[in-house]
Amino acid sequence: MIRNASSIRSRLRARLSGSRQGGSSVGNPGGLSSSGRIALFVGSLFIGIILVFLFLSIVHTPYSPEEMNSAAKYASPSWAHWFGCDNFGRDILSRIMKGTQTTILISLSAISIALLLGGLLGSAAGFLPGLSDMMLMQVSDAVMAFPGILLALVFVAVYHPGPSTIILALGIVFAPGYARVIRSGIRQMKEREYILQAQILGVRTPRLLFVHMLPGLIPQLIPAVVIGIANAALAEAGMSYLGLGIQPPNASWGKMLADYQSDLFIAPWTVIWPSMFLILFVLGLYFLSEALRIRLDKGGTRR
Amino acid sequence: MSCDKEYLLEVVGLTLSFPAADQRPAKNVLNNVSFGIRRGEILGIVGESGCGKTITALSVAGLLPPAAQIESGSVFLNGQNLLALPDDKRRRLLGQDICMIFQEPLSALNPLMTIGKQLTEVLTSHSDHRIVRAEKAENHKKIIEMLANVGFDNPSRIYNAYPHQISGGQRQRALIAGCLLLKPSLLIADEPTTALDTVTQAQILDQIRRISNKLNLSVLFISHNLLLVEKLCDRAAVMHGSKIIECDTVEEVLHHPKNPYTAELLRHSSFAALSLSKKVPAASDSASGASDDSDDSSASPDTGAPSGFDAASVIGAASAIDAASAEITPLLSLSHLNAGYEGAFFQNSQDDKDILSDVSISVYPGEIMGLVGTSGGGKTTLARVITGLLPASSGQIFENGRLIFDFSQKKHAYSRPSVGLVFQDPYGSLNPYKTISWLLEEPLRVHRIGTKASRREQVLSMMKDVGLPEEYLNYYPHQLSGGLRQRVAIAMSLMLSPSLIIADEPVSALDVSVQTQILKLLWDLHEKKGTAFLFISHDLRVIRTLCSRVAVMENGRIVESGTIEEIFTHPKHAATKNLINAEKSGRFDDHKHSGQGS
Repeated sequence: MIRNASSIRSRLRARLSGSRQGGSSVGNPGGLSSSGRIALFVGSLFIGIILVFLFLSIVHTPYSPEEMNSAAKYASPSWAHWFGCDNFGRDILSRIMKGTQTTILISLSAISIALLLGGLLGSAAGFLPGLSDMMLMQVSDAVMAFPGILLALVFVAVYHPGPSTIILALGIVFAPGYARVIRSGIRQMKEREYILQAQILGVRTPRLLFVHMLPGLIPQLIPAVVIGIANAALAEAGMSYLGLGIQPPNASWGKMLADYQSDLFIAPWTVIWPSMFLILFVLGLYFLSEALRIRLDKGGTRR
Repeated sequence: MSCDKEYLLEVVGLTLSFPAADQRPAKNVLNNVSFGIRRGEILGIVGESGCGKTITALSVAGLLPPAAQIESGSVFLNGQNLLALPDDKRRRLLGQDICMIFQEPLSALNPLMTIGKQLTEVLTSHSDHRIVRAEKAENHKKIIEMLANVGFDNPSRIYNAYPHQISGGQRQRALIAGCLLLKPSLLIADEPTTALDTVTQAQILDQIRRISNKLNLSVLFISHNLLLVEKLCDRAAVMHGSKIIECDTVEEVLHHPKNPYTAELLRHSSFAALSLSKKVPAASDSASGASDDSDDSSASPDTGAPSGFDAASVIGAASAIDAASAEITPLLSLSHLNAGYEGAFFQNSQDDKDILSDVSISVYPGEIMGLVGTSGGGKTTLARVITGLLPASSGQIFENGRLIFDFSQKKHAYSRPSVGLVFQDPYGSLNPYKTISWLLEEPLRVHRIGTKASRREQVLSMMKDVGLPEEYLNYYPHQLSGGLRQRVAIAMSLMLSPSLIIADEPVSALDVSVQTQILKLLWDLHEKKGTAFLFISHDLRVIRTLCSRVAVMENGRIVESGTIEEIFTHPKHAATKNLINAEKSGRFDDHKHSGQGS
């Protein structure tokens, strides 16, 4: 307790690297540790690659992703087809590029919906008194307690499968997580003196939330959002794999894995490339979120 | 500063720097610092914040941040060079021989464990053998005793309390108890009593003094408060600009200072000790050397005319108010306020304590009313009730004779009184994500006052009023020093030109020389704008200089109130007498004060 050396030390480090001394902060403010720097580099590299493919795919794909060519059936990687072709002779590279669009569209929109829902729920729970807060949190806990993918699957099975259904389903599944982050952030910040001061000066709740509190919540939210995008991409891949996601002839990485699993031994490239892209995307986002978390944690110590 | 073989701790030529960041040259935070502490001696290190006091303490305790680089020098404890020891050995020493208490008591306690449990852990984690049942009881007894020693009336309540259930002062006392439990040979105390009121402060210092005598415990006492050092320490070292500039016995240093900086520091602290007949010295700009960073005294222009207010006029005003109070409507009056925190869901509500009980006070237009009391006495709660942050359980608040809150009826008139609040800690009361100009404009923006341009104008004139140079407009709070931040906080609460400002210990977190400036600023604002103040403080000296009337609060009750003269010359209630005695008591002497601590 009193002599817990490491906690004292970290507290002091925070105090020293924050600017208690009025701007002349000592140490290395805002800088990242070496592990943070590596995470930032690897993360941006991976995501950079994906983004290059995304933008290229909007402008141009080597072939039409749905164009079948019986002459090129199971063509192995070559100059004509860099990543090879599938059982219909469709170009894998073009399909992956199209899949990049699908996956990023779905995961970004799903997380936006989740943020919106979670933000509403979380800020309501953060401001409302004990009982209403408890009820709202019970609802979100109930959603959380149910396996997320399963819930999304049920949702998709009841309505017709398709991108918009997936987006909505994933949005609902991911919302409680953000609700929790936002609620606890608000609860903590409500006791801060600068928030009390704002209340004394007559700032009303909506403005208090959006203008006074939100900038302080963002450092907590950003890593959660980045991780969320990765998880949404994984969930979409899983659902497409089970056949409840993207419908043919549309392409997504998960859908390609599902379609080509039977060809794994005939034409391994059909499975390897989409898996690589999925791994690159998810891993890149995880690294980025880690780097951001370290960076923003440090920023947060300046109070 | 000559070397002596009888030193328990000796620091020789310690030079420390932090590596250069962003192409800035490496800065020495300690420059050839040497001092020694004999067994059983109390050494005080004084200096303004940023001068290297804390870093000195940390290097002795082996808690330096990893970025710190020791350039040269050594730290000897019992003749053993601590800096040459491997990490794990040093850490063991830290537990057994050296212990350290910090200024901020909240973060040093685990919020999930009761105080008693945490203190027990201190005992058990430092004994090698397994604890048997009998020992448990003994530990319990030891802890209760120690808690009583540090001034708790009801140690068993504290033993079972969680950190959030007790006040800041109580937490610090619990921590000190925890430290003293182990009977270390060196105690490092880094501003341990800064957050405490005078009575508690006196008790704790007395306790440290007595334990030091009894156990031959050496103490390294770090403070910016010269008076405390004078009361407590045998010898004092003055630090300035990462050097020790003077080190000698307390008498020599504080009564015959050889260094001009020490003299300057003394002059500032004597303001705080100002008695009624003295004049306030103008905040002097010669203290600008006080610290290397953006420094208040050099940055702020309010060092102008020494308008020193004299107390006679204050007293005159007070009695005038008294005589006329029958006719004047009080600006704000509270009648029979009660407030308490409700017990948690599953908690026994018997422990619910009333934070405020039957509080009635009135503040008249244009006066400065003082509110004193020991920590945990309900002063801050009262401030929060008045500003509408906390509901009271019963009672009424009148503003200008008009009822604005009636808590007994459960029916509030939803108009907040036009009251501003200045918090104690200027590090917490300003939103870190907003610029100064944004913060100052916000109250006007919220109430839709004026146009963009006129608001800007108002912000600028307010900044001028509180002595903030215009160039700080686009700074963020963390780029400013404590004194400047407190000026921003004061400006912010003044933006809506409230008729009453509640200042909740507005200077106790600041350096001595900055305290002078802020107090002077408050006085000037009071004179210029006629703003009434409710000045909450545990520092009687400050209250006596600023206020015309004062109310004394203890355990949530107003026990006495009247003009400064009445209260200070003829205190009626025991609590008031205690406060005054604690302030007056000079140098600590274990023979004279042996009864006070427990």
